[in-house]
Order: sequence, then structure tokens, then C-alpha cells
Amino acid sequence: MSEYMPEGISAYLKKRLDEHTVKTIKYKYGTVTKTGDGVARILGLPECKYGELLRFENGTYGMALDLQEDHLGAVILDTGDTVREGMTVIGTGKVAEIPVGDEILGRVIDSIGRPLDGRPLMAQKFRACEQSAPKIIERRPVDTPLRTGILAIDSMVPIGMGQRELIIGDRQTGKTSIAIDTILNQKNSNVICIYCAVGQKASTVSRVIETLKKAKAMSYTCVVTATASNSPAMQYLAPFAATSIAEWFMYAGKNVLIIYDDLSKHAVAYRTMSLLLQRPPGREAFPGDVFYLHSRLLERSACLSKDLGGGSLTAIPIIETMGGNISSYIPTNVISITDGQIYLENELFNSGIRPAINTGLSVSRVGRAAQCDSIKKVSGTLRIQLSKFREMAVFARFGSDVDVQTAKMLKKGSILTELFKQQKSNPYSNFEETLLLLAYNNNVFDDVEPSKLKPFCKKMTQYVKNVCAGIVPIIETGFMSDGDMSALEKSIMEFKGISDE
Amino acid sequence: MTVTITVPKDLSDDIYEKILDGFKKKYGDDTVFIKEKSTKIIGGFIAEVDGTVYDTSIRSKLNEIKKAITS
Repeated sequence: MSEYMPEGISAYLKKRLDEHTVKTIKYKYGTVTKTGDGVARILGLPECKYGELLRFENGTYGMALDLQEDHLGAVILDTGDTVREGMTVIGTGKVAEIPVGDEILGRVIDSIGRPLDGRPLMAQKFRACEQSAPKIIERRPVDTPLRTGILAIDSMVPIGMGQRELIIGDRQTGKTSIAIDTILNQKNSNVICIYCAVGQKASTVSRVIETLKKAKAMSYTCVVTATASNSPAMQYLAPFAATSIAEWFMYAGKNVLIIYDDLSKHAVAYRTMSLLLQRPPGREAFPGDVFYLHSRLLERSACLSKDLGGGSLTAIPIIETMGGNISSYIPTNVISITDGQIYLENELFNSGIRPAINTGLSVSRVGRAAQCDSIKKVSGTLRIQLSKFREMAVFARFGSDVDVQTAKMLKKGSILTELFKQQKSNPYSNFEETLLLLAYNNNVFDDVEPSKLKPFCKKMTQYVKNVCAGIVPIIETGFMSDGDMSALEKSIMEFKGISDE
Repeated sequence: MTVTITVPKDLSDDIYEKILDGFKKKYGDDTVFIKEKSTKIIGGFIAEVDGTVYDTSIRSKLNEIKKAITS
């Protein structure tokens, strides 16, 4: 108790004062010569670093991004025109940093780590937003699946831990839904999720947070957000900040999933910033380094070697296209950087096929290496079958007579299309996915009406779960022996027999 | 070379001359001095030379001590 008595307190203060040496404070300063539209031109500060945080006289922060011979250009990290000409600016000597650590889970923060959920954030550790990507020697090949719980994705375009899989499509085609469903599916899989919203409407972001809260997914998720009302600089910084948070967990040996929603708005924010900083515009007025902007961001996703703890960072960037045009500048850039894409189509979405995945244009370059054993055994040629069906369906539309073989293919295709339809926020377990595909391969659904397929599947899953209760936990881990497979097939057939009667 | 020196309002002339002598030694005899008097600082002085600030004011030192104790 003595330390709380007056003597104790004065002894403590004396000790702290003795430790402190009074020195002349020396610092460099600059002066704002021009400001407007969220950027400031500054004279002075000759030793300023690229990306250094600057503090203006009124306490506002800025970031030096344009170092010229006689002046420097900085973006202001605050909305509102609080910076005035003639203000003094000092360099902090630090680059932009973000709080990291376990405290960050369950929180909603902005690009520079300020909490937005009304609670103080007591983070102890910080990490610079810009980091170099893990080196080649520090990585290992992607071989572990990251399950999305969406049947069409897990069977046809599987995503591996450490992979970068792009979700691309027009507005209102269910891009964010797929990403959110993937987060929801990580509930019991020990994967940490970071959702980074860039340039989104605040209402959309709050809806996403509400969904995550309702599904109790916030306990393993962190939301980093820079909405449309934030300055372009904050929007530019958000994905880098989010990646730094994710990296901290990755280097701690954990598996992390990061969603960038979306990178087209990020590119637009970067274009705004670059044009205001008077960098020369290139194609579509984007600056020359817009490719490097995204490539250096996505290169930070990796599957680390066992020596470094074996953690992984899986990235799911989202790109919004205009009129289904995936060959415009930013989409082609990001397609070429990522290890595959899931292409969502407006027409499919409107005709009720949800998730509206175009199987022809969707691909996972990691492929089978990142698929678990049980799904691998039952998903064989699904993609080819579905692509052939979509092709044939176009001809069949003309009403011409088709041969028996084609009719059969059309029938199977429509069943598969129906099977892949999945409600939002309703991820399947590994067992359910395996079972449905196994039943499909055994032609169980051939005489089931498409409208009755979903209830049929539900009953079948329930039945097999009861009969083969011993096998279920094994298949949930991703493995399926031939014996287990035939046991499942047997009980599927049993159920089919019962339901036929 | 121009040096702007901010000093407390009631600083005596001979102390001011001593400060100038110090700067003349460093930057040469042809240094131009601009004297600014401020009520904001209690003691010491703040000098600005070519984009660099040398702050020896009591106000800043107290602020530093405050930061050191409360951190």
C-alpha cells in the first residue's frame, strides 16, 4: 500500500524525473503553401521519407506521398478542410502504422486504427501498413483447402489456404454474399477473418457487420473500413492496414482470411489521390503504378513455410465490373495477379441461379491441390459437365429434337444446376457437400422434380447422418476411404428405396 | 543565413546578445537575426534556422517532462 501514500507517489515521481534528461528539442519543419481537395503542398522538410506521417499545426495528420526537389505533396488523412495555408508541419519520422494483436478481433476500426465501435482500443503492438511480401524461400506450396461452405465453389473452384481468389462480377450479383458466407463458414475452423471495406456505402458496411454479429462471427473477425465519405487517402490506406493486421496473425502461425471489398473502388480512390498530387495519368486516367499498387498488396498473401510457423494468409479480393466487361483495365490487372477467379453473372443471378457462378470463366489455378480428399473423390468432371450443359441448353432452346444422349445430358445438367443453388448464409458442412455430390454421381436425383430437390436432399442428409453416424466425423475432417464411400452409397440407395415407395 | 529567435517578453538585452554570439559563432558574423517577443514562452528561446527549429523554451521542456511522467 505504501506506494499509494503521498511519500510513495513523490518518490515515484522523483524517480521518473531523475530518469528524464532535459535537452534542447531540435526538429525540422515545413510550411503549407497550398491546400485543397485533401492534399497539401509543403515547403521545407527536406529529409522527409516517402510515406512518412506528418503532423500539421492543428493536430491533423497527413502522409507524404510526392517528394519533389523543391516541395512535397502530402495527402491529408482527415475529412474536412482544417488545414490552412501557412500552417507549420513537422515530420513524425514514422510511417503509417496500425494496431495489431488479439485485441483487434471483434472490433471495427478505420484505416489508421481508430476504433469506430464506440469502445476504446487498448492495443499494445503496432505494425507499419506498408510491408514487403514474404520471400520465395519463406513460402510453401498451397495444399490445404479453405472451405467456403458453398457447394459450387468447393467442388469446382476450390480455394486453398494462402491462395488469392478473385470474386468478379457486376453490381448486385452476390459478390459480397459469397465473401460473407465464407467468413461465416470459418466459425469452427480456427481461421481468423479480416473484412476490409473500401469506398462502400456506410449503410452496406453496417449491414455486413450486423450479419456477422448475428451469426456470432465477430469473435474471430475484424472489420477495417474506409467508407465512401472518407478521404481518398484513407480509402487508399485501408487494404494495406488490413493486410498488416492479417500478417501479424499469419506470422503468429495462424490461418487468416482477408476480404478486400472492393479493389475497383480502391483503384478509383488511388486515381483521385494521384491526380490531385499531379502525377501523370495513364490509361483510363489511372496512374502508371496502379498495377504495382494491387500486385504488392496481393503478394503479401502467402502460405508460410513450417520454419516460420506455417501460417497462411488467404486473400479474396472483389472487383466490380461494368456491364459484364472483365477485359477493362483494373479487372484484367487483378485477374492476372490472382490465382484464379470466381465470375458471377447478372443473367444467371436474375434467372434464380444463386450463387450466380459462371463455370466457364471461373477457375482456380491452384486447383485440385487445394481440395480435400472426400470432395476430390466425388467432384470429378462436374465443371466440364456443367459447361457442356450450358452450351447444349442454348441449342435446345430452339426446340429442335435432340438425341437420347443429349437429352440425358440436359437432364443431368439441370439437376446439377438445381443442386448448386444455395441460400445466403447457409453454408454446407464437408459431409453434406460430399454426400450431395455422391448422390448426384449415383444418379439418385434423376427422377426427382427440380422443385422438390432441396427438401429431398435435406431428408436424405438427415437419414444418412442417422444411419452412418460413425462416418460423419471422419468425413468432416476431409478424408473418405473407399469403404466409407460404399457405406454412404449404400445408405443413399436405401433412402432412395424408401422415398420411392 | 537568417535566424528567427523567439524570446520571452522580459528578456534582458545582454542575455539576448549572448544568444546572438552563440549563433554568430556557428553561422558567421553576417547572420541576420529576427527577434520576436512572445508571451507564450516563460524562459529559454526558440530559434528557427533554415527549416530547423531549436527549442530550448521552458514551456517545451515542461511539456516533455509531462509526457515522460504520464507515459
